Amino acid sequence: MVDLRDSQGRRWQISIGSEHAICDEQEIVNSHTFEIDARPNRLWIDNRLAHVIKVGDDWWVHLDGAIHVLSIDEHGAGGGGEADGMVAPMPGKVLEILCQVGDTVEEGQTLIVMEAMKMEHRIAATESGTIATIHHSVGEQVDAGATLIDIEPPESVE
Amino acid sequence: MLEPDWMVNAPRPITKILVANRGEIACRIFRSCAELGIGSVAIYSESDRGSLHQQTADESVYLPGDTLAETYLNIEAILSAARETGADAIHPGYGFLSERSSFANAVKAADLVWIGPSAHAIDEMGDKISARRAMVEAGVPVIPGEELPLDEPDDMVDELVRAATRVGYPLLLKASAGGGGKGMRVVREPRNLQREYAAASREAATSFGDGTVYVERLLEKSRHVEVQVLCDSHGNAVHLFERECSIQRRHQKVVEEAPSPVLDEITRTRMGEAAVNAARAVDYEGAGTVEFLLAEDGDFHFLEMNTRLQVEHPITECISGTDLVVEQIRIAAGLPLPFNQKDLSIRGHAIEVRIYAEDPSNGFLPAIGPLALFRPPSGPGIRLDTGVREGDEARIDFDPMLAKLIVHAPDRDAAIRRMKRACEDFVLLGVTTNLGFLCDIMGHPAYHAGETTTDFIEVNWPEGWDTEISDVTPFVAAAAEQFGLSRKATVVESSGGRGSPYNPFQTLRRSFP
Amino acid sequence: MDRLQSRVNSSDAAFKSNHEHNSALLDTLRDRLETAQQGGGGKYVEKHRSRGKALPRERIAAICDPGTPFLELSPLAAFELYDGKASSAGVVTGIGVVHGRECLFVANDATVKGGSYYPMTVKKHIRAQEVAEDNHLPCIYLVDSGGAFLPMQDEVFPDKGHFGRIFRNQAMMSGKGIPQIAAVCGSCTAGGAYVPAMSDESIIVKGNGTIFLAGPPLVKAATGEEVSAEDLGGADVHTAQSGVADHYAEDEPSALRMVRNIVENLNSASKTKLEVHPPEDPAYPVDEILGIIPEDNRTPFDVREIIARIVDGSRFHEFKSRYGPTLVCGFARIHGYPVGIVANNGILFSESSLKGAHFVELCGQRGIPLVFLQNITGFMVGREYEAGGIAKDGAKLVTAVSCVPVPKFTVIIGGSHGAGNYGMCGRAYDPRFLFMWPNSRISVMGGPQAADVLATVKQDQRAREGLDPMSEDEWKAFQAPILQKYDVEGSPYYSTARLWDDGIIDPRDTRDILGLAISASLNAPMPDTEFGIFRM
Repeated sequence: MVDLRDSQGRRWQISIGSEHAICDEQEIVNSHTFEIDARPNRLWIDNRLAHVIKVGDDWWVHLDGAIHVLSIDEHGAGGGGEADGMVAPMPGKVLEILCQVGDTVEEGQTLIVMEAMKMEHRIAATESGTIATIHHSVGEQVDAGATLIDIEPPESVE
Repeated sequence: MLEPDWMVNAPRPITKILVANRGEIACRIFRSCAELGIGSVAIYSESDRGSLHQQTADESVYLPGDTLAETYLNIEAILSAARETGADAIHPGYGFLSERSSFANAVKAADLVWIGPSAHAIDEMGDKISARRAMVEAGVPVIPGEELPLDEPDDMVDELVRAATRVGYPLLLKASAGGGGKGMRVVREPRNLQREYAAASREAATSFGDGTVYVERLLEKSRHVEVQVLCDSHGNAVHLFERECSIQRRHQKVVEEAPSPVLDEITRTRMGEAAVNAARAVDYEGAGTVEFLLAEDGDFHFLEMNTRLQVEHPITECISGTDLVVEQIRIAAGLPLPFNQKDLSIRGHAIEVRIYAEDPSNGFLPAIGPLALFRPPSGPGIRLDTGVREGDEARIDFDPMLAKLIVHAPDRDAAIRRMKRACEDFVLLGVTTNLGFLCDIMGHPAYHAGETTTDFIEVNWPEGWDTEISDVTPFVAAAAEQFGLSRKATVVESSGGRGSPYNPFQTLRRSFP
Repeated sequence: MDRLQSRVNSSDAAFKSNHEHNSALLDTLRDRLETAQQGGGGKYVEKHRSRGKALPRERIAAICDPGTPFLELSPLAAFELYDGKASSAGVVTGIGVVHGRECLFVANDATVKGGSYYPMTVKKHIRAQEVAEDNHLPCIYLVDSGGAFLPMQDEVFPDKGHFGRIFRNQAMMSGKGIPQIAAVCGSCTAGGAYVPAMSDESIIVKGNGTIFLAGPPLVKAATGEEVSAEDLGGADVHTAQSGVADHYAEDEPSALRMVRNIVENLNSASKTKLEVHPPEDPAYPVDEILGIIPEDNRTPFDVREIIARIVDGSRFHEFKSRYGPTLVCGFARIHGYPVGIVANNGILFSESSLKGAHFVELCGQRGIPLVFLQNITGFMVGREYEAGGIAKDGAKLVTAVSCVPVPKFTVIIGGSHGAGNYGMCGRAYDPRFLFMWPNSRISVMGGPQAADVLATVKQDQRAREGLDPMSEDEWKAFQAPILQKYDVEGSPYYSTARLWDDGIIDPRDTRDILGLAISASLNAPMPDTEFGIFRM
């Protein structure tokens, strides 16, 4: 299955060899025939010659006198593990506290810097909101899994 | 190297030409040099190392530095490159130093042949005001307009309003020193005058270092028609008919054709004579172009004279059967023109389109990217002038023009059909270009009808241009992806059945560390 | 395979300052490499050339297929040793391609003390032979050496890893079908005479090349016989009379051409087959690595950002991403070759060690080469962790890494300390190649930790002896020399000078160098694993 997108945001899901393709969530029929040319960058579709080349994630297609660009959509892999929450990842010492109770913080903002095993660990806000409690102070030794900070989510507007 | 035989009796024989330029025009001049048996020298900056123009020339000289002032605009360095390589003539191409009289003078002072008009002609025509004055004296019709003196800034506003009233609305404010659309402002109503003047003057000051502004009548629905002239040092002057360059975007030409689709024989003759008179008025020598604005009623007015080879010169070459660069070189060598006016006639019709790395669906903004696949069209009557090839990169450092595609056919309809086919056949992938847009211009009824006014694009695509993706294309992309056509085609040879054909010991080209 | 998502922001201030810092480190590296490449430099090079002799790197380039890469190993060996005079330890080693075949070169540099063998020269020569033996690469010796450096004979002559080992290695490799080829481009005296003598096929250059057990002065002293070097052991003698050498070369260029001819006729050996895919450049700019490596080794960064700039298409199939997240394991491709990547993303805990052991076994089972990206301060310490059995879990990782039969490659991208070095395939675990980044540090523990430990021990000792505890100033004064020592000895240059690695590399070249290393490793057959996977 190949996921495609054009510059205007139209999306296709196509699997060559299967009769079904999806364009913007509408099912369409894939009734084309394909043949690879002996020369690189050439492909025959329904006995018409297309020139193709991939630059980065984009397929450039020259077909019937027109040129179009289609991007391959790749849903990223895991990338970083899941956020561990605002708990100490291992026993260590609080080096710096970068917020105060009552501060409004954004998700991802660094709130506490810890040191353990001679490595610095930055503890970031797992959600946006207001700092409700800070459980430790600078220089304090904390255990693995200790909650460091509580955040209150912003009150929803009724 | 054998001297070309026609050069033997030349007063100023030329054996090796340095081209003080880059890109397609440098390549084009080198081709004529090669045909004439004249040596060629390229200059190149760091970013042009390994470029087509550097490699096309017989010799090349590297100009260090990051800025244009240190490289392609560096008169001292260019002259010393000429000395170093033994070049005896310099061709400036277009743009860069081509219309700097100081460069023409410096070349002559260095005892080199300057392939271009005299410094006097450049200066006279380079300043819009002096050019206008000279044209009025020579009896060449000019557009109603006035220059605004800058010496008394307090009176400026009153002076401006008075001048504008005399010239009449709608009007155009132009930088006296300008060109290329910079410092140009349209004023349709008196209430916008002051604001637009301030903007024009500011732009002119930053772009050209001279804030002098010129007011002239805006002739709408007008056409840009320009006449190619050639003048030798023996007093002979001819015109090689006109080109029409009306289709523009952001005040830059996109499509040019020769001859004009609307000019009748009488106007053509009058305009040609006016152009020759204009050239004679400044004792012109070499190839030049006199631009006219052709109004709807058939009147034409002198716009300006370009004292250099034009980008669009190939269409004139097609219809007149000449090689303008060869003629430039002959004239510079002091030889007389090999033909006179009655020897010249128009054969067929030629069109040139400029292929830009730009996005026509997004305000023609320049685009960058690799020329990953570059397969130009071919066939009778098709010519491509370019300074790039497959694998090069479209960058932002220079003009986004990648190539000029030129077709020549027996008549205008055939030329349009040929151009449309050529644009469609052009496989240029990896960077966004205006090829699709050019195809649409060639297919547009207004273009077929010859309605090629300067506002052609605005009139015909008021909402901007966009392309509709064909339903089949996504399937092509999906098939290409699924069949693995993304694999690099460069490593086909396998290392004798031993291991991977992609073995980095075979594919990498450098050593470590 | 799915693509890693990068979160790097190249306009970030920290990115810029990292980039600047690491670029400066690279400048230093380049300067030092340039100096090393000059060999003995100046008049020594001139004198060398005046005899129609080329420098060792030029000789190698003349033999290698044009336009192909040469991967030089340990170019900064002996850096700042022997008064800084022994550039590259007087011998150039590395891997290049001859007639499509990857070969290992050992080329003496006669401009460095006549090419004589310092202790590090011996070590480098033997390390090169080890690379050849592990990876089944034909050896090409370009001999131009006066033999052992006599003032240091006790460090080059008698021991197991000393001079004699070179010839024993030649015999053993020849026995395993690894071709041994020598071109005698200069003198080859005493022990050195055995290099061509022990080779399968050898070449000697007329005029410059000589092979003898004892040179003319020693002969005169011993027997009174007066003889010229050429008559004693020149090309003519050895190719026509003694048969010590096989091919007579008119001059050096023809000798180098003959080396190519010899390799051409080795008969092809097939390489280990891996399922290779068309390579794909990383999706993110490789140069960004310089902005990702933190200025301070203590600052953590997501090692996936580095992986994303090393592997094909930045594609990574991560293994057990939710378990033991301080060790990132996963499958990827480099230059089309499949690899298993084991990369530190923090301290090693029990879970991360178990995960690593599991993954290493998996790669062993599937015959997939392993790449270790080492940035490790050590295994977690503390009561809870000892009680949790971190020692036995760490041991599982060390066992798996030791026993896995696939080629292993280690790049030290940050710290390399403590048992972390072992678990992450340090030098002792026989990675086929081990490279270091210029920012890396290597020592048993970090300097400050060592200073703390030693100061604490000292303090306790004083308490036992009834002395007053050290004041803060005394404490600092006690620590200063320790910190200084760790600072010097932890440097990658200290390591590379002593052949603890195969070279310091530009981090941006990591992908290409790993690709070359994997390609070289595939010349050797890969043994099978006979155990199933132990799930841990």
